[in-house]
Amino acid sequence: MRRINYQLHWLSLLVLLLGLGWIIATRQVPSPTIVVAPGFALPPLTFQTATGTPVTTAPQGHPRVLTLWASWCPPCRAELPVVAALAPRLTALGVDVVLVNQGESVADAQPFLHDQHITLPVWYDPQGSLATAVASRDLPTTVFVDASGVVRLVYRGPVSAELLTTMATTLTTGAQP
Amino acid sequence: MMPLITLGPLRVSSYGLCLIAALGLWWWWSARRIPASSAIDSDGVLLVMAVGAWLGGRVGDALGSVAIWSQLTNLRALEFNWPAALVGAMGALALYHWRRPLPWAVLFDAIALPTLCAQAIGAVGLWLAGMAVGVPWHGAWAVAQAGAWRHPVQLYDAGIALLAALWCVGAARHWPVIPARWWLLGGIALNWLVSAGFRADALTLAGGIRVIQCVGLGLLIVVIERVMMTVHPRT
Repeated sequence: MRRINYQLHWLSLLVLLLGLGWIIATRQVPSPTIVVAPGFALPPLTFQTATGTPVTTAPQGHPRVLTLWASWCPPCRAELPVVAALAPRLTALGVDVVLVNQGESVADAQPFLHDQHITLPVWYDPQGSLATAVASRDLPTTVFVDASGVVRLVYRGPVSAELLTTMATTLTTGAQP
Repeated sequence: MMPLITLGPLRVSSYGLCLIAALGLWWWWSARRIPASSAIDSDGVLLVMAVGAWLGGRVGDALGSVAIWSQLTNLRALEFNWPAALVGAMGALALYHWRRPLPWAVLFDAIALPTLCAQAIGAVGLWLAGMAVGVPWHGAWAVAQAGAWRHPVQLYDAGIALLAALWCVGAARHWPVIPARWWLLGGIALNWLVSAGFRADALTLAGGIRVIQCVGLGLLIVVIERVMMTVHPRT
């Protein structure tokens, strides 16, 4: 019986050591950016504006900054005024700035936009399709898309004015981020 | 999500269809495997478990959302939906047991095989829908999902669950002394330990250690100890 007990502990210990090694080997490296393959084109998703006009993520000849947000998300509420304040500069660079609401109705989202005097284009994505397309569960998320529709960067969490400006320049000059 | 069918207000995704198929199979098969002599109200128990799992999964999803909006960026807990569903099912069963005592061992031995197969079908649904994706990778069997070549982690989930199911069937012939419930727990533990290591986002501790893997390792050790004690009982 003593021999059996020895085998039992030996097997458990072996699994424990192997398991710990595996856990360490596969640990997740934290990063605010999501890896996208070079040349990954945003799929042509169709959304609606507040007035029901259909809009699409298909390339329209301009780079785009797509901000995924929701009115119930405090970091989004903090980030959107920053984006709105910077939007004229980005637009002057030739970059379209679009707020893509995730999972809310127009009635839910509009009061916040109205209170903050935000007049940027807003698309409504009730199914969260854009977040799924770029593999992000975080809000806010910012997707930087070049003029040919290729995703250049996906950033999770509130984006800074510096990153917005840098990425807008990158998108318009075609440089690598 | 990839809607396949739109029926009025209903949009059914490939994941949703697979979940419905998995639930249907699980229910039908489990009801057949629960012995009539056990006096278990199979439909009642399975309904309680299904509702508990659904509620648990929703709570797990909501917790992930809470983590997102509260800026706890370490808590990207998509993979906790399934563990939360498991906890929900167990909680519901505990409540049922409180009102009407259950022969736990008989019940879990009966549902072990159907549960593993249902988990495999659900994981395939995740793969079809491109949800719960793996870490970026450029190996031979990488799949293009969410903008990158990635580990098909959902298929790893399905494979491990099916492997545990096959093991369950084989073990029943060769080692009938080991109850099927331990193979079920072993399959779940292996999934959490091995497959979760390839998932893109997880709830992590310091240094990027995934919580789900630690739970899986602990559960696996318990299962091994328990199985060994069953095969070679201490005197």
